Amino acid sequence: MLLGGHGEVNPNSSWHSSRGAILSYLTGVAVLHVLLLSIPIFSVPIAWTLTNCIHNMASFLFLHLMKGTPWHLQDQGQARQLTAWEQIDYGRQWTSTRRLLTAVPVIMFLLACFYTKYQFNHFVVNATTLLFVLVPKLPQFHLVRLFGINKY
Amino acid sequence: MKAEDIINRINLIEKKAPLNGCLLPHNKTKFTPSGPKHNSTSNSFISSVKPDCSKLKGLEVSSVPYVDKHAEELRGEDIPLHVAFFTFLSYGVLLLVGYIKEFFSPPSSKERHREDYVPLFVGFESFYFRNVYRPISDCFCRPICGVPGERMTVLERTSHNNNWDHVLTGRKIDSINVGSYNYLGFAEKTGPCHDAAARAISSLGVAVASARTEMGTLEIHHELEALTAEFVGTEDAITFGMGFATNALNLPSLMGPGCLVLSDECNHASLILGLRLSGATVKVFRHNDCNDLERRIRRAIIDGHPRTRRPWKKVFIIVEGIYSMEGSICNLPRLIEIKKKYKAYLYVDEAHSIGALGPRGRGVVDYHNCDPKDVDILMGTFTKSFAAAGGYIAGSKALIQHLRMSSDAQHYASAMAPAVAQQIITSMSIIMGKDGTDEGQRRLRALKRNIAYFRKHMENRGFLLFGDPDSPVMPLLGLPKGPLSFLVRELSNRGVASVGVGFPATKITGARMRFCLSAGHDKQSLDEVLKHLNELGDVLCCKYNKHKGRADLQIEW
Amino acid sequence: MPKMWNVYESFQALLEAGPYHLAFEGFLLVWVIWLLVAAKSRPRPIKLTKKEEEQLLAEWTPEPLLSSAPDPEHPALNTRTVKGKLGHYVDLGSGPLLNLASHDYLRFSEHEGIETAALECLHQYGVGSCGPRGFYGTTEVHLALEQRLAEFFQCESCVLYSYGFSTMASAIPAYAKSGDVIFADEAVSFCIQRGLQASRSRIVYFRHNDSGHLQQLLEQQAIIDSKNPKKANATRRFLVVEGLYMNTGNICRLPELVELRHKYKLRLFIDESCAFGTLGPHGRGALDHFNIPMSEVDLIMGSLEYGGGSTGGFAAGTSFVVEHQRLNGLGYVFSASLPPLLAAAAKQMLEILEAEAKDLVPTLQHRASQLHSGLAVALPAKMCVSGSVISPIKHVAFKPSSGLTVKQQESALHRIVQEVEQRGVAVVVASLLRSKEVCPPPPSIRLVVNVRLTDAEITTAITAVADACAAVIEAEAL
Repeated sequence: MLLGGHGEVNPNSSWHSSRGAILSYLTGVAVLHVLLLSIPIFSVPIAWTLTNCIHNMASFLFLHLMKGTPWHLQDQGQARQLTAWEQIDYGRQWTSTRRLLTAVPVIMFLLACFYTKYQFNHFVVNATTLLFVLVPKLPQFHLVRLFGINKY
Repeated sequence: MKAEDIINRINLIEKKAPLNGCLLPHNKTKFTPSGPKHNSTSNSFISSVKPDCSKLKGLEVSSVPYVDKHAEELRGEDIPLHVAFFTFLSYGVLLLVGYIKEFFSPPSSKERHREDYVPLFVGFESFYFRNVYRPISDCFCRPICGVPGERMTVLERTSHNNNWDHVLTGRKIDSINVGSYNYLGFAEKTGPCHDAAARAISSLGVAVASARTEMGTLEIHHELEALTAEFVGTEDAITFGMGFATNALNLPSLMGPGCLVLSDECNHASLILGLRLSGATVKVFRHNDCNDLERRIRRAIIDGHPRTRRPWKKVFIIVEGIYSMEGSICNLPRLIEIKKKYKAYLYVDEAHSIGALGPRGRGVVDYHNCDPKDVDILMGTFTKSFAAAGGYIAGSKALIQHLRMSSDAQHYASAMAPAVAQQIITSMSIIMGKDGTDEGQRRLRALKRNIAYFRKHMENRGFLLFGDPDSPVMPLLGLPKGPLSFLVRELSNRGVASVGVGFPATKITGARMRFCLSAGHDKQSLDEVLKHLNELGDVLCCKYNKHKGRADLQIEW
Repeated sequence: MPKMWNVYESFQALLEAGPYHLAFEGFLLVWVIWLLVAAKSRPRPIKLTKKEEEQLLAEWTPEPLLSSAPDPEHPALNTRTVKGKLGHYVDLGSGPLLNLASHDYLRFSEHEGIETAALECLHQYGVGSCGPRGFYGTTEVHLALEQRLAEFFQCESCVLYSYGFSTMASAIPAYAKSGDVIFADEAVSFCIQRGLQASRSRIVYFRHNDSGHLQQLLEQQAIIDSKNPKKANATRRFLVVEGLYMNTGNICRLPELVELRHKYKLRLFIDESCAFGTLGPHGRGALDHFNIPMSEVDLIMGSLEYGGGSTGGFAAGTSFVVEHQRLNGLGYVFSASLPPLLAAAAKQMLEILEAEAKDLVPTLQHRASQLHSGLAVALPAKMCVSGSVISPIKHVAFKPSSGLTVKQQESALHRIVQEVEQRGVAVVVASLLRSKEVCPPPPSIRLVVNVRLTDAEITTAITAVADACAAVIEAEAL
């Protein structure tokens, strides 16, 4: 911990529930979507699918691939093996942060399907990225590493 | 101060916090532990309501019409939403810039002579340090030369390689000190404390190269322990050479596996380390929230150990007197009540509150007018109010004897240096009035006066000051990290040495500037600090306190 | 230009979408509603009534705060108090006794230069530093001392701690985390053991000073590593030893350890608290003694409270390794800094040591070997003196073959100490927390040699200790 000495062992577990965090997250997604919409060659369905995919891929990278913390902690390396998602609320499942972070990609998927007029190819792309993001969030996948990827 | 102003303020308090005599239900909205627990502005003109503990002894909670000013959610301000949003935005931008920069030019520091070794550090764990802390690292670890009194000389530093290394420029900046823990102003290079310490060095040597249980106990150590016990109001006390080690090395002697510890959210790193070394089960309760504490302790005792379901051997409650990051004071009467009701043991860490709180300077117990015997283990440090070093634990004779037999520090660590012990003895005697003067009382009054004056002015001008009105540590919130570092640098250029702390030492939206007042500050220094803060506060637009007063309001010194 | 998007068309598409699509969406919609709305708390498996809860609360009885009443005869409750200064002679209330108990090997406690330096610093800085290093607790004196220590140990960088115990207890956990492996000598001092415990790594102890046993253990670790190379690449391996062991007085076999370090890619942390000022031609410790360059070692830690004549500790090494502790050494970051006057005393001590080491260190080692050879001859048959011949720390203990229990040995040693005091010499039983130590050494009397001892004083000491041992053994028929 960089100076001070008080507070929690792993700030990565709770900063998502801070004031303004979810608002900033949703604002970021909205800004991304508006940027994509403003590019002339993208039609509305493509912009939505792109938003959905970029959001899901970034979310997968930051929540489920990245392990450890960007600071040295006092917990003697216990958080090093955990992905950011697994660190939220110290591993307690179905807390409000986790529910909200699970709900957002799903709502985005539903909206994307609506705006892409339920076309099959868009559906496949959106659903695949959604599964990538939803499956690791299930409690059954807590601390699971498939094929030894990302284990150490 | 006009009488009608006072009456208006009383009415304001009563409207906001009706004395309806029951504990208000806990607010279910999103909890921000760094938020203040009461409206500081309206309370600051009138001395705070302190419940009289004598009425509470032996009575059940529900039968006493009790005003718990900490559980009462006097809705104080929290930082505005747009500031929180900009904080996240700035972190997002910093992260992005950091990633892009490191993608194109990866960090190049490599170990020499250690090829084929497993890397000592995980590179990602220094990411924050490299990209967020390093650009503002000149705000921390500033060297001084001279006494860290109410004014001190800060040595200017500069960097030729973007804050990776700092070099002294040679320039000395005479600054007003609102960053050091010197609450009673005993950090002096002249005066009775200095003279006594010099005599101690000449007669007893510089240091003691032996452990207390071997050949390291000098007469001055006995004198110090007896005086500490008398000061704190307990039967006996034991002292150690380092405050951090007092917690870290003695908690394992008091608790072990099978014990339950309820520890406040904002407890210091030394307590967390001590608890980890002890092996006890730790549950954390919300900062200064006695209702949450009671709920958890009740649930824990009823359920027993989560896995084995066996009853707990002992239950401890560990709190601090003043939390230096929050500026809040613990609610000792309520804690003593809970402790008695649930048969728990109470450990109070008075690192910041000893000497700085209470009409006689005896700490949080004196402040709340409680009985020291009700607190099982009183711990404190000598670094802050006594301008020395070291720590103590005070309690019953049996407890102290137990610690003498089983404490790590007593058996393995060298005894306290004589000069340091003498400094504590002299300063403590002055506070107690044993030197025959009223210097101690004068300092205590001066500290309280300074606290009241500074806080009133800051809140009147619209700054968001958290914490208890009587705390000598005042955190100022409402600034993301960038403007905070600007404020620290600009203040130091103008001759005010202050401290700013940010994430991850605090919550992500809780980056704060922290003012530590001293009895030695005079009106001129405080006015100068207020003037600079006022100007810079306008520049940074960080005056979010909704209870801004009139700019020309006369506040008594 | 892509077609303009039309809301009405979307609704029509919804009605025409395939059933798989609608089923999937329907399921997701229900799930989202559940996520956002469902109650957070899990229902308790068994709900107790209020009366049952109150009964459980009333029935629960905690253990008393202290497990047993303190034993008034315990030595820790009957420590001797030194009247006046702890110098070459010490007064415990019955006249001056020759001090062979305190760790002041080079007698810096009575060096005028050090007192003067401390007083000058007091006149400038007062006593306390009133803050941690990060918040205006850093003074010029601290920076100067860190630089001098780094130069003295021929390192790039040095970090100064305010308490000797905390140095080792904070430095080790700053690098070793859970998942790492630490190989440590079983006789390491208690502060290192606390550091090892705090690190949460897997600790493997090897027999005291036994490089063969260490090699065996390293081979076993190498076999484990070869079975899981991925995990091995993420596991750091450390070796923690002392230059001069406080608990036994032996000097570590550093050249053999360095070889093992090379072979098995370990990181070597060495604690030079007792070796500082006592080993090596320049007084730099075991590295200097064996003429091993600093690059062979990852971190040199030490306390300034033994040979250093002051308080506090240091950790020196390359910048890459040591600077990490400025943000992650708990005892450095979260503690007030060392009082400046003690830092000034330490700095003065370093300067004196650098100037006079070539005289002081050989004299000390000569005195140590005099005492050692004298005791080896004079002690009764049941007792022995352990420790290296040139080490200033000697341990006088009962031989394992004496057949006494630990308790008997302890009480006998306490009586020996009292007898020795009556003969004009002050010594101590090595203070241990037997129940907390990992491998507690046998009870012993610790004798500390210092550089100012004369021949006559050494003879007195040898005679006093030997006679006292003989007297107690005879009196108690041990």
